[in-house]
Amino acid sequence: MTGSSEIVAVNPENLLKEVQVLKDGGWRLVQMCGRTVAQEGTPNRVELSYSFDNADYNLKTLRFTVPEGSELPSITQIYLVGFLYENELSEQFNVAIKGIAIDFKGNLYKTAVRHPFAKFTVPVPKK
Amino acid sequence: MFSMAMLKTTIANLFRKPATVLYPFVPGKVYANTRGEVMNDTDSCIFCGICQRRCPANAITVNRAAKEWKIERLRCIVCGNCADVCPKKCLSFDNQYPKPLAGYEKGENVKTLHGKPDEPKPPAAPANPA
Amino acid sequence: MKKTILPLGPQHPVLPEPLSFDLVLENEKVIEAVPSIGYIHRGLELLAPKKEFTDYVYVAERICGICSFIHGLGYCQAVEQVMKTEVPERAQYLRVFWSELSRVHSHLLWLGLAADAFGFENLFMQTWRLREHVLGIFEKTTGGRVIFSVCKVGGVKKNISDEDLKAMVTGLETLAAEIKTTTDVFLNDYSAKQRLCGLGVLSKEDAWHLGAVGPVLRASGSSTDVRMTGYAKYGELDFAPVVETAGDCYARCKVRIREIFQSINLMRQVCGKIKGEAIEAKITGMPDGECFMRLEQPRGEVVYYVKGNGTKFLERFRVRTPTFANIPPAIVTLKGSQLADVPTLLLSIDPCISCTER
Repeated sequence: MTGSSEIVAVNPENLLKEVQVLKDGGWRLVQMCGRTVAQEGTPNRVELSYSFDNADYNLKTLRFTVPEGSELPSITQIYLVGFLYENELSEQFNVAIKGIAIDFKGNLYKTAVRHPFAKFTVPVPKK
Repeated sequence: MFSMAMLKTTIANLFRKPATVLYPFVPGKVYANTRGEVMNDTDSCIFCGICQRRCPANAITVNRAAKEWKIERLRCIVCGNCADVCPKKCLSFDNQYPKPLAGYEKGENVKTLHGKPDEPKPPAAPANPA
Repeated sequence: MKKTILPLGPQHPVLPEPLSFDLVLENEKVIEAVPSIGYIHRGLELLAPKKEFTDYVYVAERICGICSFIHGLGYCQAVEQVMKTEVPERAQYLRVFWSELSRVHSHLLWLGLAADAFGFENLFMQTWRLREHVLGIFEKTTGGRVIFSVCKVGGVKKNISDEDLKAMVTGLETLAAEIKTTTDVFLNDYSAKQRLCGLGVLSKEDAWHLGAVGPVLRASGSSTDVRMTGYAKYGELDFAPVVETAGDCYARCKVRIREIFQSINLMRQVCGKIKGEAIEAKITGMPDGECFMRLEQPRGEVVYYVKGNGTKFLERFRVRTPTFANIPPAIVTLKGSQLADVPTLLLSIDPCISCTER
């Protein structure tokens, strides 16, 4: 049997509500990933993907885009195990995640450049 | 309570040769496929520089004008990408590992190979006698 | 009672890679543990937009030394899915062969480290003596003992003839008999059982919700193995996840030992079913699109995310390695344990820190 993999776009305002629905449905957190979207002429945005899976190998990814420098609520109140992913996201991308249960305050990876993924961006090629 | 599980191995070990070899006095075991060191057959190399562009570790430097092919052996990760992309297939692997290095500063880690110098062009045909 | 804070790591004789924990102790009992990673962060994900997508395989392979082939395989499969390339059958069977051999190698290595962690150094040496035979097979077929550089987008680079495959599988069966003598010590020896049984128990619900993957999850009774989704010819092989129910370190050790024999069985099946001649497919065009790819590494489930934008440089490559997901269960098992058991508990999740912080 192959598991399905679907990407669902959500509104960042409803993030905590959507995550709570998944938690009540028995899904567990798999990974949290980020990507800087850099387009000429527009300010950079950060596209975040939170993936969850259930016991049948089905992967559901919640995807939303926020402008750089914005604040996000932490989902550690629902999924405590997400603290490592959120620390990594707030260090590598220019997003601030508020209220992480175990907050390393920028000391998880101690890179020489703050927000390395925000600094070295890949411009979207002109089609 | 006393378990005999390890006893057989322990006693057999008393009579076995050591499993380790006294490297480097005894050379290590290599196979035909072992990726030891990158070799370049400069006779067929055209110094195009494709290997320099595609090396994941940026270990190769090619100077086309001077017909010089340099590799920094300590940067090379022996992955084999250069041998795959070479158009003339002049790059290959020697299955012996190179000797260990001590002098990084003296430039011992750079292997430089030169191609044959160009043969002097034959003199131009004499002008049409008027 | 007075509390002491004891730092464990980042350098510790029992840890294979730098990992730091601040343990809060009361006498000899651990109350809390605060993890600290980031000592070998090399920023490999940032290299993805800088190297051509066909060259990045070699970087992806070097994320970790023990799980190196499966990292390369996951990257190649993700890019192949984005580009919709059809990989020839022989290449897929060979990939399964090398993946399972990597699993045998990884579990043998872990068994040696676990024996060293609870002090049985003779067993550590015996297990690694068996591992040398596996490394010899790797060097004979791929050219490298630890990093193979044999997987590429579209197939594999080296071929193994059918006769060589049969000879290797026969050799592995002889090795399996020797492995059984050594692994019986783990399961039956009185002192090994004293150190492993009843330690670090994770219940089935805890293991699932804390995000445990791989043998840690299967030792707690949950039958989850990503190989059952059938990537790369696993759909045609006959096997079932190896499950134990006790949830302690002894169960995790037993799961890994049984997985070694399961892998040798899978390699025997590959040798019987392999067919086809071509080992690579021609790749045309550039990757444009994204995909999530899940594989089963020896340590657990690994998730790859690849995003291509139509040029020869990928836009984003992300790896979520199994140890990253296994750290919260490890912290939970540490609470309430004795200080002398901390190394064994940490090693029972099979930490691969170079994978965790690429």
